[in-house]
Amino acid sequence: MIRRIAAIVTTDFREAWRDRRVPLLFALCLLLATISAFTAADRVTQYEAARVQAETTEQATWVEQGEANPHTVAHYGHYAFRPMTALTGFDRGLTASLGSAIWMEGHYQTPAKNREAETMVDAQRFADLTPAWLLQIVAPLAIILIGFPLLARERETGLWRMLSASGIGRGTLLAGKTASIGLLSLFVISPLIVAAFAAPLLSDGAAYADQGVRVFGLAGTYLLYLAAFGAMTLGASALATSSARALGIMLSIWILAVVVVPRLAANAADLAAPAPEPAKFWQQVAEERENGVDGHNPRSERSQEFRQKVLDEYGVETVEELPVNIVGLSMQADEEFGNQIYDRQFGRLYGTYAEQRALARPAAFASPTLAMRELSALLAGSDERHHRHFAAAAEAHRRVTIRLLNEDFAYNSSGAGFGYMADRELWEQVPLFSYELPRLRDVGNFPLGALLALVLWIVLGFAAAVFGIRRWSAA
Amino acid sequence: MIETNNLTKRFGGQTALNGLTITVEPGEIVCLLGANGAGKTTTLNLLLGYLQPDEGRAEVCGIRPDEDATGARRHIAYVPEMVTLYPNLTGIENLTFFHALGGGAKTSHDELAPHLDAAGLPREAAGRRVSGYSKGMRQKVALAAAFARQAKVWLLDEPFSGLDPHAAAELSAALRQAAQSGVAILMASHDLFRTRELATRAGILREGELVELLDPTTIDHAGLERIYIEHMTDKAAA
Repeated sequence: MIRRIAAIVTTDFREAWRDRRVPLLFALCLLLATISAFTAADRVTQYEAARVQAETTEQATWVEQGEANPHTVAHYGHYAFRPMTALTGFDRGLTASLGSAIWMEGHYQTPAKNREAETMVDAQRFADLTPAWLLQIVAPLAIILIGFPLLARERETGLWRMLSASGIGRGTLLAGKTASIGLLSLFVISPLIVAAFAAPLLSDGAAYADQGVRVFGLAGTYLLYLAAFGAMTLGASALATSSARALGIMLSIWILAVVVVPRLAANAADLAAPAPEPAKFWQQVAEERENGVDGHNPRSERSQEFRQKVLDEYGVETVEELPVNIVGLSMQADEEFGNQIYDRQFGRLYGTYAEQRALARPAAFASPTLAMRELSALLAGSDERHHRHFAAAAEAHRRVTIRLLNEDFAYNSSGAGFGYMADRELWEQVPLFSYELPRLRDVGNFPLGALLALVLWIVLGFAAAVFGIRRWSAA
Repeated sequence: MIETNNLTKRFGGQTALNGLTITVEPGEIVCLLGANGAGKTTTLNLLLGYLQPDEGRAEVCGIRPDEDATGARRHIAYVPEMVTLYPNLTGIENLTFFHALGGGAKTSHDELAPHLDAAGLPREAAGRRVSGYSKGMRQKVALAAAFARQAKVWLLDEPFSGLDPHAAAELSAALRQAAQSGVAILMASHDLFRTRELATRAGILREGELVELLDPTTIDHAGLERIYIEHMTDKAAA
């Protein structure tokens, strides 16, 4: 059996090499992989160098800013930069769209800026040559172009009659062809696999604490993904009556999986659970801050209530009798009120995103690419959930910073009002923003549905191959 | 080696082979003659296990193809009318491949090359890609595979069809050599001349029935042709 399988693999390799499919596809993959590995690694390295420099400058500016009123400083604000990890060099997922720097300022929780997507040219939007993109889009195409004739050719040319008469069974033939598509594909896309490992290694990106688990997970899930395309190609090749038809079937499946289904799923999810327009979102935040969540608690009344509460707390009649600066306390109270609104509004927004993800997830059963995209971005740490983890850390830091500044203003200005100046001693008390990269378990549940979808595609592909080959007749 | 007993095959209401009883012993070359649709290829398909008989039985080296097709095929070398090979492989590479598939021991090109010599394919041609081969050259590769496998039974379907006289003569020589080494050969053919020259026995099939089984060595070419045409004319009259 092993010798027969080896003979089939050798023959298929010679055929595909000599009809120039293998050398051409290998050369194309090598070219794309080389460009991808170096550009991806360079992007991460450059970003990280810029981030470290910007953070150093930010820190120096912060500490060296001299004497200033804490509230003025709260408005001066500063950036929290998201570290770019080595794995982002492999798959940058949504990072180009979600941004990598968050402006931290009193009163405002802002979304991330520095979105590469805003400065991308059209070609980049279509084909972002990351190693992940190559493995998700180009590798399946290479597998299809390698595998489509493997069984169909034997059937249409009459080779099956010759093979069958030689004493080879359908099971051995299918085992041989499975080995052929596996090994031929592995050879052709080997540059893409090397690039996938090289891009993170060549970059100066940060590493996750559970990097090993992530790399192992990426290797495993991509293996399943590519196996799904291999199995489907074998299935189409066994079912089709000619190589041309097998190619037609598989190219149709590829277009559906890569372009049509993901687009339709995203549009359908957006229609079913629409995210608010940015302008409307911010208008609502502003309205709630001004008038309260229910619209019946205006800022002026809140301010009055808080003033009275502080006077009661200190047992005095007038603001002038207070041993603290009520402006600082009011600002912190307003900050906390605003925080509740941000938590509510952003919570609702993220809830909508989660709902959209949940709505789009079943489409993974119609497109393995959709399933792979979700798994890859999650494992590489470039999905929306990892971004939210960073945004939450930045927001927590913003709140600690503003609280320190407001409380310093409240308890230390003692009647000086906005004439009060804090100095380096206070600035140094504010902790530096230091983002600890999350582990996978910190960002939510693993999308087992996507994994299941890949397994089902493999089973479906092999079932089609077995069903197809059993229908063959040598007579 | 080959034995059929009342072998019958029907397709729907059409009887393709009706009660064929014939044996082919080692060293024999038996030709099945007949018009298109007479049941020649159906007989070969039944012996290869590609079709299941509706009645009767067939045996190849004591194995019934309808029960153990793979087992029966291990003893068979089959040369179809149109030999299909891998076009981008050379003749010797194709031979090596089919030899390996047939379960032959691991063999180098040099060890297999003499089989191509025996089949009449020049060494120079054996190193060229099969995409440039003529029908006769492809057939020689299939014959070489049959020699290499040392199969006890050879089944050939219209082997002389489309061959030039020189190639046909070479094929005859190769088949005779195989028979002399003890191979049982059953071939379907239209070629009365080659049948008369090669066959130890010739069967004439008409509408699935074996209407004549004769020893062609006892008659001349004209006699064989006359008997064949008589049977075909009977068919036309019927």
